Amino acid sequence: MTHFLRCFSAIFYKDLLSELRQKEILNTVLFFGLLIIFIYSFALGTDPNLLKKMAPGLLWLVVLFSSILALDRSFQSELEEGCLDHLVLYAASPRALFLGKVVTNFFTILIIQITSAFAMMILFDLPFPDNFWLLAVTFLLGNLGLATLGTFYAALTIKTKARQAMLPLLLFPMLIPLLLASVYATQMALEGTLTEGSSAWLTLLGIYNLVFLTACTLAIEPLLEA
Amino acid sequence: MIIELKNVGHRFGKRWALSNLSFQVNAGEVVAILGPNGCGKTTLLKILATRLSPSRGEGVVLGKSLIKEVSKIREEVQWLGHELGLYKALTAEENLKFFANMTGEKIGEGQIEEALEKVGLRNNRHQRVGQFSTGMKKRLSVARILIKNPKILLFDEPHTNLDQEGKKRMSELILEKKKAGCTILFSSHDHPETIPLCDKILALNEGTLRFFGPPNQIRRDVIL
Amino acid sequence: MKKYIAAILALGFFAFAQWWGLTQTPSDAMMGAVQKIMYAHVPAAWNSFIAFFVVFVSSLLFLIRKKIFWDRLAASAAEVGVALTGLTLCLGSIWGRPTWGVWWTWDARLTTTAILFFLYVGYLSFRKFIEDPEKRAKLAAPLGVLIFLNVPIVYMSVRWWRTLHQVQSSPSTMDPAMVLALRLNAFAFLGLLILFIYWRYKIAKRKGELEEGL
Repeated sequence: MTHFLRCFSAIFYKDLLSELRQKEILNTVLFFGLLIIFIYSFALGTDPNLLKKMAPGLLWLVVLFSSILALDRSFQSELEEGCLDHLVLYAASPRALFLGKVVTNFFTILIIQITSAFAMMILFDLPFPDNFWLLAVTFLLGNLGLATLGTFYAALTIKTKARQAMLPLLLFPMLIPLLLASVYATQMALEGTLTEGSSAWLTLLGIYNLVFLTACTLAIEPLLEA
Repeated sequence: MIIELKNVGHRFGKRWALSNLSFQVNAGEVVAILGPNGCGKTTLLKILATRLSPSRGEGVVLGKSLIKEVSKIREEVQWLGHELGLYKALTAEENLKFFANMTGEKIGEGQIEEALEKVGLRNNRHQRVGQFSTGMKKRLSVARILIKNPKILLFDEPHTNLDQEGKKRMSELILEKKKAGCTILFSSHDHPETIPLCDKILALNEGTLRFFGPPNQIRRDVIL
Repeated sequence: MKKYIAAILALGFFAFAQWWGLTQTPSDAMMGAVQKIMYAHVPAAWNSFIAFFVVFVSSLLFLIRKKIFWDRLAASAAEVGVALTGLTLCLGSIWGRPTWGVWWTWDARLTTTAILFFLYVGYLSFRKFIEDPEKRAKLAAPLGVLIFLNVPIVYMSVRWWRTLHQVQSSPSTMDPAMVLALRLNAFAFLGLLILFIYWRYKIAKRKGELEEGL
């Protein structure tokens, strides 16, 4: 167990340190998200009522597209200088390696979510959410599922030739339940209506996270060895 | 017998990078793997390091199966690839600490300092690897191996990208490790450097074994 | 001649079942003759689920047993499953146009089928991008398992999503003659499914042997 934890914290600390020292990557991703939010207004018009109504869906789309860029990097950086080979041979536990990366990606996506939400509140003139805690829980649960499957699929597509096209092609259909649940729970949090329905969506998110966190952690070993 | 391969082959798609390889290495021997580019040297080392699984045949390293007991072999075997696998954004010391922690074992500050001292990087330990020269990176990756005391060392081209002084120090290191009882297999292009180092030569060509034995018995027809 | 017996039996039974559905059942009171498309649409949908279940079980068995047989079976079943899902979607569209007046409707089952189509097309194209057969098998197997685990979650989420907008219309009671024809066709499609998977498996095996240079 201590081996597992040491391995897990080593990879988390290493990734965090690398991200912080190469801030330009995170900055680019955040700026990309900001740009999309800005472009929404050109594509959809500036009617504040329409934008307010669509805000939850648009918010999760920005998060999805920005996260793809960040997720793709989490294993791409390991390919440079043949780090992945050494990493796999040194790692006491491939599961610790995977979970360490999931946690790093979780924090990266959290930063993306918070910046995008703030940018949208300002640009789309959204009021402060009626049910802040519901919004926070939705963000965290949606984030966890996205980080789990995103990290797993990043590890999967790193071995293929058309990596950058493959990742969204495989990942997005898998994320449809997560997207539906997150968007509707966010809408309920923003509008403060239909709050009794939100628990069903949150349960769905919980089940989704539980199923895939378990399945991905179990399946990661043969994947990294291949 | 510390390493024993029987009819081992490895295939990438349609191409057999290695075919029907059988040989045995005794404990404490130094074996040089020689042969032209693309003859399967790297593949062989990766199979012994358990990074690749043989497509055919079977192998035993330290009494453990190369196919079924991979994690046990990894604890005792250290591999250094042609690409060194160091993180540019981290400093020399952080790199060593990271890999030490990845193995799950507790490794003290003293050991890391000692290893850096040995490869002559003590003064550069707080410098980021991205600013290192190729030779310095190579030395740092050697320091990474020194932290652990492996029973078997696998080196992919240890002498490449080093100057004369560096090559000499690398050869000294190999002999030192041999004295400590370590079994070493390494691939090389530099024949004058390797011949005096090794107990045996393993010559490969197009994935097949051409010669395996002491350097003085090598046949003329073996292309190196 | 012997090796064609299974094929002739399966195809013959399929033709018989389709003929039965087209001529021996009453026309729907509201939809008329268009409703006959059901005898291909519904069995195709059912059997595509069976195909995807085969992908799931084979992928799981590959992860446990590491035998290339299971990988080839998973790939073959996925191909046939995608073909049947594609057929289901096309027939659903053709059926929907005269019935509801639109080519596409966001019905929970239809939407889930479309999502499945995307997921398994992704699975197949992922396989195409890896040349080494062993690596391909090792990477595709976890994918085959994960996708199937998602199926019930997708269906649940899409159903909740739709009930936010409209109440689901449940199908009215069916004539017993229609039920019989539907069952007959379900088995006919099952025969085709097995036949096609077997054929695709044989091709995959021959391809594999060529790659190995045997």
